[in-house]
This record gives sequence, C-alpha cells and structure tokens, in this order.
Amino acid sequence: MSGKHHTGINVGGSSILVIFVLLCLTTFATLSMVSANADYKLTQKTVLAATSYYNADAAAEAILAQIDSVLLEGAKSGENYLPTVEAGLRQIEGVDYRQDGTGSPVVSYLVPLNDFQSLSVELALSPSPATGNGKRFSITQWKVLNTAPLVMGDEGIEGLWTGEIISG
Amino acid sequence: MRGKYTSSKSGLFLIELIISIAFFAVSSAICVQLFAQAHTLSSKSGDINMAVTSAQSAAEYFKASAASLSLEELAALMDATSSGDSILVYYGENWERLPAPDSARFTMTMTLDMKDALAVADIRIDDSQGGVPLYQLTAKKYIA
Amino acid sequence: MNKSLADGSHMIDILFTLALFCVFAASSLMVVLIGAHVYQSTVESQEQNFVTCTSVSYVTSKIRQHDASGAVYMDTLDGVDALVLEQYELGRTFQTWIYHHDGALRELMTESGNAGSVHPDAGQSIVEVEEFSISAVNANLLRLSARNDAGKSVEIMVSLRT
Repeated sequence: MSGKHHTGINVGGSSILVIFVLLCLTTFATLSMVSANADYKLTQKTVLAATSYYNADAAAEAILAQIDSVLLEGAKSGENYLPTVEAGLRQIEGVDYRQDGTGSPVVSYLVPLNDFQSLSVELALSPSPATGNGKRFSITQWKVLNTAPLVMGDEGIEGLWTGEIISG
Repeated sequence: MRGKYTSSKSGLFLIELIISIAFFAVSSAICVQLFAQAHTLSSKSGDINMAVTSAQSAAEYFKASAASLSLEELAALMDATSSGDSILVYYGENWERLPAPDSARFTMTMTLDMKDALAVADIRIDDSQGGVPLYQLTAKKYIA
Repeated sequence: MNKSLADGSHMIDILFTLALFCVFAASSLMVVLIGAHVYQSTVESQEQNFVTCTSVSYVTSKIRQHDASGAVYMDTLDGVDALVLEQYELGRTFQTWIYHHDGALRELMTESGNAGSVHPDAGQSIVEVEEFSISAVNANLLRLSARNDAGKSVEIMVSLRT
C-alpha cells in the first residue's frame, strides 16, 4: 500500500509523456519546414519570372535599336524610304514587315520569355521620315502573350472542353 | 524484502525517467534546430520577394522616364538620393523606406550607363547582414 | 528529512524523483508551446506577405499582358476607381476592369459598352485584401499599392511602353 504510494505516478507515465511530446514536436517541426520550403520554392519561381521578363524586355529593346538603325539608313535614301526600309528589315531575323488594313507599314516581332510566354512588339512606322513629327516609329503594342503550344491529340486539341457537362 | 520491492520499483521509475529525459533532450534539440531553420528560410523568402518587388519598381521608374531626364531628376522622382552615376534607396528591417543609410538593413543601388545605343540600368539589392546581393536586375531601354 | 520510512527508503528519494518528473513535464510542455507559437507566427507572416505581394504581382502581370496603345487607362465603375485593360479579339473589344470593392480585389470582364450596366459586386474576387489602390503617376507610369489587415503595405511601379 505505502509501496504503491511511494512511486506516485506509475511506471510508464514518463514514457507516455515523452512519446506525446515527441509527437507534437515532430508534427510542428515537419509542418514548419514543409511550409517554409513551399514558400521558398514559390519565391524562386517569382524571381525567375521577373528575371525572364526583364531579359526578354532587354532583348526586345535591342531589336528595336536594330530596327531604328535600319530606319535611319532608309531616311538617307530620300524617295526610296519604304522599299529600302523593307529590304533592311527583312534582313533582321524574327522581324516581320507588313501593311495593315489602311496601308500603313507595321513591324512586329516576338521575343520568347519562357516555355509558354512571349513578348509581342508591334511598331507603326511613319510612311516617310518627314511626317510623324520627326518620329520614325511609334510603339503600338508591347505585351506578354501566352504562346504555349497546343497539343494535338487523336480528336483534335488535347484537353479542350467540348461542351459536355461533367458532374461530381 | 518489502523494502527491496518498493525501492526497485522506485529505481525503475527513476531509470525510466532518466532515459525519457535523454530522449526528450535529443529530440527537442533537433526540433528546435528545425524550427530555427524554418523561420530563417521563411524570413529569407519574404525578403527576396520584397527585393524583387522593389527592384522591379526601380526598373519601371527607369523605363518610364523620358530620355531628357537627368540622374538627379530621376532620383527626385523616386524620392531617393543620387551619388555619382547611381541612385540609392534605403530600406529598414521591414522594408519600410528610410531617408538615410543610418539604420538601413537593405540598400538598392541603381547604376545607369549607356551601351550600344541602349540605356542600361543595373539594379542590385544588398543585405547588410549577408554577403551576396539579395537580387540583381538589368533593365535596358532604347533611346530613339 | 533524514528519517527513513518503514520500508527503508528516504523521503528525499520520493521528493527528488517527483521533482525531477515535474521539471521534465514542465519543460516538455514549454517546448511544445514554444514550437506551436513559432509555427503559428511563421504561417501568419507568410500569409500576410502572400496577400500583398501576390495581389500586386497579379495586377502587374495583367497589365503587361494588355499593354497596347490606348488599351490601359483609369476609369470609374459605379463610383469605384478601376483600371481598365482592353483587348480586341474576334472583331469585338473586351474590357477587363480591375478594382477594389468590398474588401477584395476584383476583376470583371465585359464587352466594351456594357460597363455602364454592371455593378461592382459582379466582379470575381481575386484575393481578399484590406486596401488596393491603382494610381497614375504620369502618362506611362502606374503605382499599385496593396495593404493587408496587419497594416503592412507593398507598392510596385509598372511602366507602359506604348
């Protein structure tokens, strides 16, 4: 009787306590680490997205510089401005020259950002260097486009919803 | 005989307690280290996020500024200080803007240059408590 | 204290064992509480950062996807200041209205011309943020600012190249 009283808590109480504490600590530590890791991975993705955008932007500006040097060269040819410019632009890789609906010259090019996005630039050229207040071109578009390639499956584009209602 | 029985039971409890304390000490040391790592990683992620945001803001100020804008005028627009060919922005612990480098934890340096008919802005964010820069960005603009 | 009990063990033995057990129990409880507190504060700060940074970078991405001449401008939707992003698809002009209303950043896409008959509540909530403001610093520079309910605000500038 008094023997049982001496030991107070029975044998095994401290084992239960340590197991409980170990469980709690391990759970919290694992949750914290997993959550912090996920946050870090998201941050790395953000960094990559920002750097890719500015790299593509810098490349687009470099191509713009090339195009403008062609325009400056063309301005020296006087009457032959547009044909000279067109010939020069066709030599720059990736740059597309066309006439839009109203007959004005439009230059466009695409700079890839990453696997599924590209920076699409469009410039409206002034038809002769004299008009347009001395501005040889104006930027009409500088936007990021989604250019992920569509995957063609057996029945057309893979993953395309064809209108049936999916319940559940 | 009865004494031996009770003392051995008490001794068993004591041994069990000591072993439990040993386990607890080892495991809590490991877990506290994991907590510290998680906290450091989390605050580092937050800092990098804010650094990317601030660097982008500086780059956009640069891209939107007219070609005729001088370095001092651009610095004034950004509410920052200029020195030489760089614009400096100071941030405190929680990324609040500070007017002077005195208690600044993070410093953003934007260096302007011209290269191949393109204006180039090199933006770098440094942490006073770390060796490598937190984030680096290069923005270019064509001056017609 | 030195008197021995009937079975030969001393009072101090029991007291020592009990005291050691109590110290062990108390310190283990403390470590668990500290762990819970660290976890809670880490997750809370992550979430607060997320609300501001993500909302701001979402709108930045949206603006960069619509930068064309005359396609990005400020307007009001039923009294609420909004950013309008226009895109021209399939022969029609569509407007994406981005604004802060009723405690959340909202987005509404409609055909241009319909904006007069749309209520700000119709917009889809992107993220719940205490305050989100979009202002034009000059003709081609926008300032986006988000504030969470802990009072921390994040600001970013976006330039328009067109």
